[in-house]
Amino acid sequence: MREEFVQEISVEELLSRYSKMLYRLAYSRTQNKHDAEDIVQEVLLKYIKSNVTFHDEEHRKAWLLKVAVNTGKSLVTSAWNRHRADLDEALELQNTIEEKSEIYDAVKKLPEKYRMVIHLFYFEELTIQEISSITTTKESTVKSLLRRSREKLKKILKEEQYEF
Amino acid sequence: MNFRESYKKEYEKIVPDEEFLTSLQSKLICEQKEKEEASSEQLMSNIDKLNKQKSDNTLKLSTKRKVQWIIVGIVACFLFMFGVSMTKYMGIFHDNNHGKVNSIKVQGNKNDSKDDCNNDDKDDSKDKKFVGKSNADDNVNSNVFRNSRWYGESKSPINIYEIFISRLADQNDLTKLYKNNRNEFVETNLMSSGEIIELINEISKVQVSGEDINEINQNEYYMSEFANNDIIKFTIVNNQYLKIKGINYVYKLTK
Repeated sequence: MREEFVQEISVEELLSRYSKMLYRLAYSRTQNKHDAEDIVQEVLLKYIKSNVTFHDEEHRKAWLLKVAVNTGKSLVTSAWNRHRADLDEALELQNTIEEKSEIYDAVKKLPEKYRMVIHLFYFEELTIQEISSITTTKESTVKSLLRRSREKLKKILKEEQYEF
Repeated sequence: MNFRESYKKEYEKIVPDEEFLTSLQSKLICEQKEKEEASSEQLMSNIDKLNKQKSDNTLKLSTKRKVQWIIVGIVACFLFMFGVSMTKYMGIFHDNNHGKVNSIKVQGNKNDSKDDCNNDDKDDSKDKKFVGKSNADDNVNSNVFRNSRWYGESKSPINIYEIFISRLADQNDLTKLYKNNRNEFVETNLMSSGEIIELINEISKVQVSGEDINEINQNEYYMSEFANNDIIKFTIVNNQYLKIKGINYVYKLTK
């Protein structure tokens, strides 16, 4: 059976479709504008340099998310970035405090690994299985992360009653 | 409240800067061009490799064909040489046959009259076929007298004569007989069958003579060629004597 592939898309189309997605994921993890931009740039450069062919747009999207997860992981775990994050967070917090809601603040207080799962599940609306594939972790781990995230958020957002 | 909706609503506000996107777009376009150029170069490189492989294969094939052609050439040369050798070998027989092909049938002279032939019971049946050599031998050198021992071991003058006259009368032995008024013979001096018969009749009876003959007188010179290439020259002097070259005897015609 002949295998079909989607056509290559232009740089403009690539940015139009996926730049925001990647930026939001990166930002949810790093909580830093510049780090998010670095991650987005690195992911898209990897995409341009790669010779991967995609079966469909979902495949392309999953590939980009996976690369973004891995790229962000190395950035987040670097010692220099961990020390710098506190200062950036403070500055970012001051700049956006008026614009962000309590949900944003609540999620921001979660550890990085929880934030990523929360974002992929609630914003990108991926399934447990898809998140497991993208993050290269077990589904049970993803479920556990989600459960703990909800528990933490409930504690943070105790004054508000949200349906998770 | 729904957490998902609230979260999405909150995070939809988070977007990258336009300035960042513009800068990123330029970087990505440059990267894409470099990739395309690299791909193009890679493609050309692959094409070159393929062409080179094709060329190598062609060269290998060409070399193979050259070897094959060399082998074919060697075989052809061998066959050619073998053919030449066989042609030469066959040519020996051909040359031997060549003499037969060029056999000269000496027809009767136009001057030969029927009446002359009627004098003998054998008449035309006595017309001889003189088997001769090639035309190059037709112009006979008068000095040629290759075999003085044509008469074998015979020492007796009468035996020598008998051998001479019997060979001259043998149409299978005698191939050519020339007659001239000097000791030089050419094709036009060939005698016809009738003339040969007349001559044989003329010299068929002889006596050994001890007389001295004067060759200054009227002489008729003859040269006979035989199948075994023997050449016997003889002279009839004054219509009376037969002198055979190389023989110290003179025969007087008695008929």
